[in-house]
Order: sequence, then C-alpha cells, then structure tokens
Amino acid sequence: MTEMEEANRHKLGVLYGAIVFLMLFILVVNTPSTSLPKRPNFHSQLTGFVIGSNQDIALSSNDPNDPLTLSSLRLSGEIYGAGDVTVKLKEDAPGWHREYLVFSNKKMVLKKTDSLSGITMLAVYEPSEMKLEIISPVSGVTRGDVMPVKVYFLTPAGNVNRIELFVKDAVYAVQFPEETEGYVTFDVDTKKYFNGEYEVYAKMYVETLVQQLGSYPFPTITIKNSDSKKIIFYNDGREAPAEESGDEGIGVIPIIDNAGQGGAWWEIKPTARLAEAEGRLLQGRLPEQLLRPRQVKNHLPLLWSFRLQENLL
Amino acid sequence: MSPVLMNAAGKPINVEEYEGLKLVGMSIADLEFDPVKDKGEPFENECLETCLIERAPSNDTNYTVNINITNGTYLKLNDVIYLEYKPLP
Repeated sequence: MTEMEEANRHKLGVLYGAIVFLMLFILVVNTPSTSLPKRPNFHSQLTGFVIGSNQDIALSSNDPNDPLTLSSLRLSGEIYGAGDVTVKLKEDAPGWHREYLVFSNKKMVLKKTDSLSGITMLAVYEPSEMKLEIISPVSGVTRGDVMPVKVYFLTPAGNVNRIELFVKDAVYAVQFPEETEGYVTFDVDTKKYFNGEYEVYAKMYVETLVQQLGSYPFPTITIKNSDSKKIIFYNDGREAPAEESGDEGIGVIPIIDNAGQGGAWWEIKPTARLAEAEGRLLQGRLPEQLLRPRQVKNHLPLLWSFRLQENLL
Repeated sequence: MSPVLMNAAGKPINVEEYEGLKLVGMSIADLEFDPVKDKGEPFENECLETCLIERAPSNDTNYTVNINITNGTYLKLNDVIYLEYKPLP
C-alpha cells in the first residue's frame, strides 16, 4: 500500500468517524425524555422498555411552570408470552381521577384476513368498578362478513356513560343517561364495491337487562367525524334533533316494543346534507344505527370506546 | 437526557440496560427470551385524535402509565407517542 493510499484511507476513516459522531449528536440532542420540559404538541419516543411485572410509570414534566397535559397516548411494541397485558393511563389532579384503558390483549385479537387486520380496544374513563366483557369478539372476518361484537357492561355510578364504536373515520356512540347494565352489539358489515372500495355498514343494538318503565330518558346517539366534530346529535327519540345538529330532516321512528315496557326502536335517516358528510367518510354509503333500549337496571354510567382497526382498501 | 422513570409513589424505577433496551424492574437473567433477537407478538393501540382523554380542571395533573401483566408474559414497548393539549396563544 502506497503512502498516498494510506493517507486517503486515513482521511476516509476520519470522515466516517465525523459522520457517525454527528449522527449520534443529533440523535442525543433530539431524543425527547419521558419528562418533558418543553411543550410541543406531539411527543414521540422510542423507549425499548421490557416489562415483565406490574408497573406504574409516571409521566411528568420537569418544569413546574410547564406542566404536562396529555390528550392522548399511543403505544406500540411486542408481547412475549400468552398472558394478559393491560395498559392504562391514570390521570390525577386535585379532586380529579380518571383511568383510561389504552391497550388490552384480552380476547381482542382478530385473525388476519383480507378485509380487517385487527381490532383494538380503546376504553376511556374506565371507572374501576365497571364490569365489561367482550362476549363475542370478532374473528375470522372476511370480505362481506358481518362482524358481531357483543359487549356486556355493568357500569358504576358517575356522570359519563357512553359506548363508542370507531369505524374508519366515524364514531358511533350510544350514550346512556344513567346507570345501566346490559349488552351492546355492534354489527359491522364490509361489502365490496364494483370499483374496489368498501362500504362499512355499522348497526348498533343495545339491550339492557332489567326493565324500567315510564320516564326513563332515551339514550343518545352521536356520530362524529374524524375531527371529533359532531355531525349528528340525537338525544331524544320523540323528536328530530334538527335544531341541535344543524341538519334537516333527520327522521325518527319510535316504536314501543312488544312487551310495552317503555323501550323503543329508533332509526336515523340522515339527510342529503348529512349524506354528503358521511359519504366522505364511508365511501358514499350511509351507515344505519338501530338502538333498542328495553330493560334497565340500576344506574351505572359507562364510557367505553373501542376502535375497529380496519384495513379495508 | 435520560428518561425519568418513577413509580406512582415518585420513587425511581429500577432499570437495567441491556443492549440498548431498558429492562424495567428485572434482570436480564430473569427473561425467558432475548428481547433483542426474538420477535414477540406486535401490538399497537391508536389513541390519538379519537381518544377522549378528558382535561382535568387543574394544571396540576399527574399521569401514570399502569401496566398490568400476567406472570411469565413480557411487554416490550418500542414506541410511545403522546399528544399534549396545546393552549391557545
């Protein structure tokens, strides 16, 4: 090897070293910490934590003048073993306590198919007393199948009481006015269009367990778009909520159930204006929501939310 | 800056480093797998934008990530993304 080759090799080594040092420097400088003193909107962090026992990990800010105020949390990683894993976010402030279930692998694994890749439960504000069980988790779904997801719930006392289904960019929510025990079934149907797109058809069915007569308030159905902007607000089966939603002609068909126990069927017929809004979300087809409250026991609230993580297109 | 890991009582959590991974509250000898080489069952939750985390009435809010896991099962967290409330100027 000549002196010139050796000199070039030395220069190349120095150059590589400088590049590696620069990359490491940028990586170190830009890596956010779990305790963030600054307040950008999003924080992303590669953690590489391996956890094998129950843990409570605090997320906090180091700067008392710049407190951390979370609005959402996303986790990804891997699970080793066949046991259960549950991740919750607890939010505590003076006079304030909330628990949010952000991940659970209990009975919620979808078989991978060509239509739906998975289902992820996202519960928000899960009071510790709440009982909730997935009776019929989705499995083996293929194109055109109806996915029944039946959820048993027994909700504790409190103010918030809603069950939400996320399908694509829309949110279907059933809101109970008071304490409730019962079942909610979401049927989600996927059908193929001739042009290769898919329709998402969602139907909600709510059955509460013990009857309550008379003046029990009607539940609320809320549909939101991806920005969580309310496009339908439906809180009373006895009248159309046009004033509240800003949309016209939303039909309401109350039907007293066969037992005459104060329950009702309601069917929402969205308007053309609403159809446009929904069409953007669901490829031009409208979902139909059916709600049948029949029997009510106790007064237990619920805020339960889950998302169908689809891969339709 | 290293992440500050504390338990709910505010005490530091035992963290052992292993090839860039942080083993929280355990030793590499306790593991029944190699978290660097072995591949587990991937998971991801999506709680951004559509998640309904309420805003506490006070700025003096403490957040705790509670992980409940069956013995013999391990959770490897690859990515944590969180969104803060952005106050209006």
